[in-house]
Amino acid sequence: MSEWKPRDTVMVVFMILVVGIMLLQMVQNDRLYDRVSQAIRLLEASGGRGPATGPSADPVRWRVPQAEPGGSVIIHESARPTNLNIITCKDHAGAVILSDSGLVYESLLERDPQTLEFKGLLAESWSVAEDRLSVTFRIRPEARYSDGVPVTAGDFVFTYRATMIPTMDCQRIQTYLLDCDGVDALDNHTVRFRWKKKYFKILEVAGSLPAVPRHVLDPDNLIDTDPAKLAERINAWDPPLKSPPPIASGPYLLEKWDKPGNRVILSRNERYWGPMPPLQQIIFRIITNDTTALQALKAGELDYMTLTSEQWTNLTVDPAFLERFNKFKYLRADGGYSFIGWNNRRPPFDDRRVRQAMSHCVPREQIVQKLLYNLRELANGPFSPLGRQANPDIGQWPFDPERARALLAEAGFRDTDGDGILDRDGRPFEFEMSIPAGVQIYTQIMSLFQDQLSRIGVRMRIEPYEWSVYVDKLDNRAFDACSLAWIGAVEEDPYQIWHSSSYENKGSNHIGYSNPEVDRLIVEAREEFDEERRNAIYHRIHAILFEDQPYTFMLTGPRLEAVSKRIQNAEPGKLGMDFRNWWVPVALRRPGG
Amino acid sequence: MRVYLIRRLLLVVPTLLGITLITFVIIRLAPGEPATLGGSAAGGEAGRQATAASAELLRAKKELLGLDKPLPVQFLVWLRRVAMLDFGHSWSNNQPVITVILDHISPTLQLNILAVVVIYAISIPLGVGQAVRRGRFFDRSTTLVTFLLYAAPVYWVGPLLLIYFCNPEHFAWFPAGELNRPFPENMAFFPWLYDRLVHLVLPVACQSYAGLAYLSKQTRAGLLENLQADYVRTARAKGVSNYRAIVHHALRNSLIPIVTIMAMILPGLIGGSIIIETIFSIQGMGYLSFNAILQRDYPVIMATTTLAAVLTLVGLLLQDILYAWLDPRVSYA
Repeated sequence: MSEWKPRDTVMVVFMILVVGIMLLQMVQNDRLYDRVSQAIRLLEASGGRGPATGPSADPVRWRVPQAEPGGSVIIHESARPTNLNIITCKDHAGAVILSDSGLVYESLLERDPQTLEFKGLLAESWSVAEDRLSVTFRIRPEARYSDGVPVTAGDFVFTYRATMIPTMDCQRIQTYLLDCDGVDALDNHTVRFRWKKKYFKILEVAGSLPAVPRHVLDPDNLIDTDPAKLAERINAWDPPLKSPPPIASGPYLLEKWDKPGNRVILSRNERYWGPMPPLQQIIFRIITNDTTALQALKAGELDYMTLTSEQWTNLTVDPAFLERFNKFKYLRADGGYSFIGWNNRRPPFDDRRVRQAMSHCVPREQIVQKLLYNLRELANGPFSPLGRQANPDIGQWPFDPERARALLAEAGFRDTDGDGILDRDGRPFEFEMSIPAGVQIYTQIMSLFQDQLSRIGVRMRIEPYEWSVYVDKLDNRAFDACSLAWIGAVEEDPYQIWHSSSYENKGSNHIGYSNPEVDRLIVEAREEFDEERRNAIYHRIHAILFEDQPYTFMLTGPRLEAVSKRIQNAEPGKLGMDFRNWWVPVALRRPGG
Repeated sequence: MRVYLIRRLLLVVPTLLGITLITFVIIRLAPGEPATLGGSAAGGEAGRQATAASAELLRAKKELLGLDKPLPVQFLVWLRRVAMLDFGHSWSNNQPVITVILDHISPTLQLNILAVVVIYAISIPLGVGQAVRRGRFFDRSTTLVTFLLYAAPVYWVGPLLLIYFCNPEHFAWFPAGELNRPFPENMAFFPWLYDRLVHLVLPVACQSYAGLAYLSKQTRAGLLENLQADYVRTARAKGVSNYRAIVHHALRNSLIPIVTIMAMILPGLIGGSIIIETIFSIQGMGYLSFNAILQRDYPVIMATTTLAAVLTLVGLLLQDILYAWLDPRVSYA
């Protein structure tokens, strides 16, 4: 190499600067382009027209008359949705953003947050047929998509037929519609869902199907000519990043998904057909780490989040925090419960007395006090304590190691060789407790349980498994005992978890519970449309399950949440918060939004 | 040299084949089914939604994904597509794998490149200082500090930084996680750049502190060796100033191994750290690969491992070439 001179250095630095500035300029151009194309998408989503203003437009009906319209809120979401495609979306996060709170996509019915009764959303009226095999909805004539096209019966027929295409990636919806016999458009605004057998949830299943605009997703009528191609197209649809635009009937439009920035931005649909909600923007911010999320909340970068028990008890109690945030602790009607599942088809848990003994050894009060800051409640069955399905006469299964000892002796377990471990037929009482790996609380709970069991002479090994391996073990019934939680529903249908037929085909009856009387009652309840009589059957099922202890029902929890005091009207109902009622006074808004 | 290069390049092909084959076999031997087959959401959350796909739906889905064919056939199908640079579609969201990777690579690149710059900018002067003051207080104290940092686990340091530096109760100097404030698209360019850099401070600090020890020790060792060499003594003897003797004569020669280490960093640049990304809520490559493994999203796993393998091989090759180029004593003739 020849001699390196100072002017060479100057030259190199100069060239780096030039290249750098060019790059920055390119980035800036990209950003401008993004903003323009985003504006275009939004315009497309609203049918190429702006807000309905001017003298000819109807006066806006407001959902919350006293609210000052405008402003935005930032809501914490702890998991990232895999996509925001209403048909193929598989996760809870996606459902919350798109449809669960009626923000973007709407269904025929929704539940009243206080009474939990159904009320019409897109439907004006509905009726279940005499033979209980079909339900007919009358769609509101004023219901319109954001591009101004009316919502029609044909859209529901399309949604049903599209989700039934075998190659469509939408098992979540398909599973619910397996017993559906067909959907007919009786006229433009009347749609009928037919079922193969009587099922009391027909209203709920049909009423929660989202209205999907056929004219946008299938303009060239592929559903009749080439369903496979339609499935391919819809599977690849990634709104709002790829066309077609996310046209929907709800009060908010999917404006932007900032993937690197972890934000989903919903903007108010200015042409919404129903009463207009106050907030201009609802931003979902995805933060997977609890600590980071709480820091963001405290720094004013979030308005609403769910707290962990520890955060509720230790990290959000100072006056500075309470001055800025309201804390809510409430039970949700679809709360769900956690449990220990005993493999009912594997000795020794095939013996009811052994399962009962196990339940007597779980120190649930101690767990709640020592590990969960007294912030959980004990569960005694599969039904939500808020609903009418739960049997009010059933108490809690008591913690009673002495009784457990007696039950195990009755079942033939004795310590014959004096090693401190009970045995039967020469084999010691030893089993494996499978838990999902990476969830610390499971290990802690099981350690307390393990300690109790060792005192009565039972040896339990705690074995954590990675989630997909864990699910595999459940599906193949390759476990002694497992620990898990079910996500609940307002009205449970126990068929899926407790009916003996759900043991086959990797169904949800992992533990192989089988009780002919429960089977009969479950089917009977499915066909019973009178709520009073149906709940009587559920009370009976609840009592039998309590006696059989196929699960040790563990805990059910209130939600722990913090909401910024900027937000008005943030009161939780039995189904959580309704963002459509929130508003932020002008004086308390963030600069720029 | 040319013969050597050609031989090395030819060796890349079987190595790559071997790596992809082993990866393919390992992920397929691992228990657990792809999340897209079950009704369940992926990992972590220990709740399960009460949905179960029927056997028939499952079978149709497996057929669609090609999972019904024997393993060797599946591998060959994959290989044929990759040879045409088609990595397929991600099973979790149906988008092309290339798009998915491009979505996640930019934050990781920004983070890692800045971290590398920070590591080099601190540890080379540090190593020089340590070598010059060998055995004295500065040498020992900084060595101790860098090794303490090396030993501090990032899952502990990260939350500490967050709790003390992003909290109005202590010091609210930096934002808590992510790469921008809300509405970055409404910011002008320079405020946006500033905002991005402020957001990157803590993650970059986390990413780089552990690397200081290794590189400063390398610099120190290399420089010490050269400081004792004859040519440095000669330079000093002919009256060159101490600064010139160190910086112009000894340091240049001792930087050769440091430069070649850079080539090894190449594969590390696209490999994200799942821990740092989780703590600071950044959706980079670490997040992508980790989730792909949890969900058994085979196309994404295969694409990210293949990419890492290619970059590792290229890095090794680059290292050899750099050696020969920088150090006239090395030749592959």
